[in-house]
Amino acid sequence: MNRRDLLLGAGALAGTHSILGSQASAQTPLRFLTPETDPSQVRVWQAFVEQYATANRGVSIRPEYASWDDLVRKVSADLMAGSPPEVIAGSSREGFMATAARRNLLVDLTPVVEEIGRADFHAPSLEAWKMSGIQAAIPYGVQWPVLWCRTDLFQEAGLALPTTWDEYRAAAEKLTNTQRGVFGACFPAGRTWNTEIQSCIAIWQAGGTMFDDKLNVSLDTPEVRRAMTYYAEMCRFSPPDIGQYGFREASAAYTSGKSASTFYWGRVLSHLYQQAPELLPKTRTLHYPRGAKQAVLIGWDEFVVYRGRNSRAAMEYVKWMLQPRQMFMMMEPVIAHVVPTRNSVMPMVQQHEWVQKHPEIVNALIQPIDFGVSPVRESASHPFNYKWDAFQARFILPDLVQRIVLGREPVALAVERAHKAAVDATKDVRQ
Amino acid sequence: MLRALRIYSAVMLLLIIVAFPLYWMALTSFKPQTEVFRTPPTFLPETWTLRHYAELFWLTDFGLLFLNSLKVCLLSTGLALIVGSLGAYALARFRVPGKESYGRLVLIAYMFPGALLIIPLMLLFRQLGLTNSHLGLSLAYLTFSVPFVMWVMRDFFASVPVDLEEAALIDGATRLGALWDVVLPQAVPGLIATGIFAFLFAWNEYLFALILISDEGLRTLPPGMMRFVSTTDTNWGLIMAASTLATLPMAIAFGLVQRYLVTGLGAGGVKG
Amino acid sequence: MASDEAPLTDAPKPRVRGEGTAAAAASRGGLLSALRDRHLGLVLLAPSALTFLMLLVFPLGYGIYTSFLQRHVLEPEGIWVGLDNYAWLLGNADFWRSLLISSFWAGATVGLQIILGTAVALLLHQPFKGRSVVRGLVLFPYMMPVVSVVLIWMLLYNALYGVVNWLLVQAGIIGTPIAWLSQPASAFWAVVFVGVWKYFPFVVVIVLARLQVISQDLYEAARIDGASAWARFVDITLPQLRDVLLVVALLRTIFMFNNFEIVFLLTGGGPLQATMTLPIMVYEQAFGVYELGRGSAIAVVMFVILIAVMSVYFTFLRKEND
Repeated sequence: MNRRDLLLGAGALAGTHSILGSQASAQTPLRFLTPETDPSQVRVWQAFVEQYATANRGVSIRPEYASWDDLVRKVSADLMAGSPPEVIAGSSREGFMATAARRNLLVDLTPVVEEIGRADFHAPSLEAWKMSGIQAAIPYGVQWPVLWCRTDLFQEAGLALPTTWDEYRAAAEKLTNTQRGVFGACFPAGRTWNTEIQSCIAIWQAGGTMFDDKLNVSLDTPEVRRAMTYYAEMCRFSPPDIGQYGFREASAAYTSGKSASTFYWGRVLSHLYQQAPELLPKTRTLHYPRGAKQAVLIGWDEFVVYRGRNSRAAMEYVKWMLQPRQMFMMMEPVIAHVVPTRNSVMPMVQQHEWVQKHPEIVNALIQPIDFGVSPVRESASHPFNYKWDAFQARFILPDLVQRIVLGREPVALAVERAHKAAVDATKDVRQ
Repeated sequence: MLRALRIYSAVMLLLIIVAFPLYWMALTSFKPQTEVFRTPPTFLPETWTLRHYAELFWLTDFGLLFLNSLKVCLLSTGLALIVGSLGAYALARFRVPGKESYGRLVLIAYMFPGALLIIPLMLLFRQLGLTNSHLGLSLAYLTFSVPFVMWVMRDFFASVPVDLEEAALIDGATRLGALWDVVLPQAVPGLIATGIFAFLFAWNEYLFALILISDEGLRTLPPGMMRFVSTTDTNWGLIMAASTLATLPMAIAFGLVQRYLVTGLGAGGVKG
Repeated sequence: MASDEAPLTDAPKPRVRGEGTAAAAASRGGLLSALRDRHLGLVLLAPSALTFLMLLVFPLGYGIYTSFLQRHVLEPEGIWVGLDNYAWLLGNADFWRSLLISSFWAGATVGLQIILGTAVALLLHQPFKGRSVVRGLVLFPYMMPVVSVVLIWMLLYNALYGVVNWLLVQAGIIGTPIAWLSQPASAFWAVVFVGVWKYFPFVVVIVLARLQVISQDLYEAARIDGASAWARFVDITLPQLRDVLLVVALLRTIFMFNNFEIVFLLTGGGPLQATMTLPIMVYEQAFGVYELGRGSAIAVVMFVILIAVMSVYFTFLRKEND
């Protein structure tokens, strides 16, 4: 049995226990965990708490915060110590969630979808979170990263914005000026989730996959080696401390004006407004420069309800947050970061002042794409990858990147070792 | 003259090494976010702002973290002072078999690595329902604060003249009465100083606080502040405001113990 | 955890001063020797003994027991695997590497703390205006929460907008900013520097206190003999400080060897395990991949090292007392 399974298994016991062991009390406390913690976002959560409390006496919501990288580990720790928070809003990672659904830890959210009206939802998004026969989560936003570019720096260097790997590499080299402290690119190399995402994308773009369609590890291939060679080269044109970079550093490198380009989600727009408004007119976004093919990692932000004594109240709260007004309130501080999954919310997003004002920034972020890939289903011919959770928990890809970029290990050797580590980590995983 | 110059330049260098990081912390907490990233950096804020401090209390749970920390540290310090000074008094005044070995055990206990204790403590506390509990965390802190109090207070009690106690006993006081009325007042300065140290150690502790508490409503400052780093998108102003405020109890306590530290240590403190 | 710090007031005291007086009182046949006192003594010791038993001895035993198990955090019981965890440990290159890194970390931080601390103590022993303020200020790093210290240095070390890099570049010492914490080569020394910065005040206080009780006559005599300042330091000050420095070095070595927070919070043991000390390895095994047995085995090894160093300390004390 896989370790993480065990953990979730015991959590399931704890959950059932608390359902049986408690009766409805006068005051229903709900723990609400989210990694969405920009100050402007926190204000929204606080407003929700107040508004919901006045409308629903007896329910008190208590927001808790974790970082994007720590969210899943935090839930594990909570399972260890007793019980998880009732509601989670953010990216819970599909691999982990599939295990949680199988372990009967989650509340089936199908009734919430039906009560709101299935027709208004983006169907593929709902489908992606059907796990073990239940609606394991309701995604409220779809998202993919794009390339943020400083048009002024590209112009100054006489460069066009890049559309292929080769163009991007040449541009990054030319833009990098260590004396001035400006770097052409920003490829993360920390032991972080962002490093994993960026290396996934590079591998897909090179034509490779992490697992083949029989779900055997497929890292030791020419495509993966090519992807890693490119990744390592681009790291040379990235800031010196990328060895620690995860999400926030990759955004800060751009908003601090030190990186001429970075891969990031739509959140950078709000960061620019807060931290560096002078960069707004000099910024535009594009889709990733192409390798052998075009691909990007598609992800969701979603609501999850863990089984516990207050599951019923938790579902009500989720339903309330999924109302158009509330959904828009949630998205407003980081507008264009995610595309809402409810059709009725999209017009509000499109009328937002920042969206109106910066089409060259938001277009790549909110107009539909057809090359999004999810690591748990790397192609149409792949089944759901139940091994992904174990692969991800061991930081196989970030470690691979670190060994090449920081440890100067030859790409072929590093890839071979990563392949072995991945086989080791996933060989005992059962569906 | 030359000598004075040499001394003052050495002192300046020392001050730069010690005080500059502190200065930078306070400075950054008053800079607007746009100014933090600037190169060349500004050595005095161009625009002063209190926004980070306001946001710390309005938008984060810093206040709650601070109160939780205060609660745990006061509880564990109180317990440690009571338990530790009783034991220290016994070691200083009574002829108890195995006293010397016990004294050594205290010292070894004080040196115990937290990494050694955290795994069994976590397992035991979970059995006893002491995880996610301020009492549990306070008890865990006794693992270092009780040996510490015993070690220091033993000498303190030993230096209180025995004659006073004897006089009280002749006057008809009980042993415990003499401890309470005569010895304790003499030991107050020592109790305050050790108490402040025990408090500071608990205030600074990270590993136990991280593992034994996972409910964010019960979190204490050190793990809570590390959470700010990862959840505020590198809002250095906010983070430095939190660091500054977390240092405040330290600064206050420092003012209180300085007398005991720098002068009190003097002649008697160090042998060897 | 905080027990990795020695308090400033607990300057090493090999002998207990009360002993003599108590013994004297007892020999006078005074009230203190009454038999019931012994019982009272035991009663007063009981709470602390109970605390040690429950919170130190029992967990220690439980930890040792766990090191013979394969045990997951949520399993009610583990599987007895005998010495497997130790076999795994001894055959694991990461463990040996980690032991080495821990030793280097302890050696480097303590060595530099002693040198810097002694130098600063000598400086602060000189009379100058504002001395007491400076003495107070020097203690600050030691008193600050580790978390605050770590956060400050993360900001200072930053490669893009950190002021340390900016100053070094301006001074022409380095050409371009260095990613102090994210290069395997520099990360170790970057964390060592923070460790020294945080803890050298401890050495300052202890040495300063010792300096104040060195008889001035010794210096006067040497001055009359025409000894240079350096000669006076080597011939008088250093021998007088020798014992204090030895004890401080020993205690600080244990504290630094056991230190978890500074390195963990600055680098998490990375990059590429360049700063993976033993306490971090315990944490990673126990709470990263949930292998409690292996984590405990590493912790037990640390305990054995602690006992070895402490017995050196006790031997040293005994020699002193003789």
